[in-house]
Amino acid sequence: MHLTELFDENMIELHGEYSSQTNFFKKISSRLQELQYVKEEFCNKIQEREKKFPTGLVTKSFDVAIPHTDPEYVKRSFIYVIRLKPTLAFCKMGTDPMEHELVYPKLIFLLGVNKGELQLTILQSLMKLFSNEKQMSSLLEIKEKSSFLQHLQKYLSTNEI
Amino acid sequence: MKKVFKMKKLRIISVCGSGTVTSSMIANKVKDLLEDNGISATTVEVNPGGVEQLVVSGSYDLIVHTSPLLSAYTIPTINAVGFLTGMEEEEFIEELLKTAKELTK
Repeated sequence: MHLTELFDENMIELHGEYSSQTNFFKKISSRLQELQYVKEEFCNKIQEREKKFPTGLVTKSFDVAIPHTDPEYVKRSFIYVIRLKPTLAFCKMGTDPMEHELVYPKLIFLLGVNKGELQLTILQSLMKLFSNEKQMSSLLEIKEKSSFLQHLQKYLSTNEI
Repeated sequence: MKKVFKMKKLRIISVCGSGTVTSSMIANKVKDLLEDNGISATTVEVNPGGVEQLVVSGSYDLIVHTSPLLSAYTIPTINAVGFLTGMEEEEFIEELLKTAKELTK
């Protein structure tokens, strides 16, 4: 499977507005369940995991987050991309959530992967993208969903790991 | 007299939430980096719950982690999140090499 197949225009939000992290996870999860990508437990599991192992990341451009959970709650692999405005607080990856070390992601890549190996490829490609300041700033500026998707797919297909 | 060059092998525990994905990515990068600096390393990837047992076994030298650890351990630990994203990468590399050299003295 090619990385670019994991994206879909139906799973890109360029104007994501959510009142809280819980609200965010609930709405996205129910959308994903409607689209038959995840199982019912996905919503709780992804929140539980985020509380234990936070996924907020600081990059050279701006903060991002890559929430995900175990493969068993995912029916089909996907990457759901949300551009948040206003942003939401996420705890920083690698820190103890009790310490409340927060980041404020402008972009969220919510990952659903039902094969462990694929997850490593996705992660490597995303990290490469996150360190590319030019690509990242384009992702904040693009106005159309279709061009956002094209841009992302073009970058990821030329950077196959 | 012939000098025998003995290189110590570092045994590293790489930790992430799932014990598979991020930890493998970090483990590979760490091994490459150490090798480039003349230090040989082997790694094992676990989730936070698996660390205790490995540390207690006494056969590991160092922990690198991208998820919070469950407690304090007797061997050095280094947060490797900066090494994932490239942010604070220099600081991570510096700390890793310093610790690795200390351990292989």
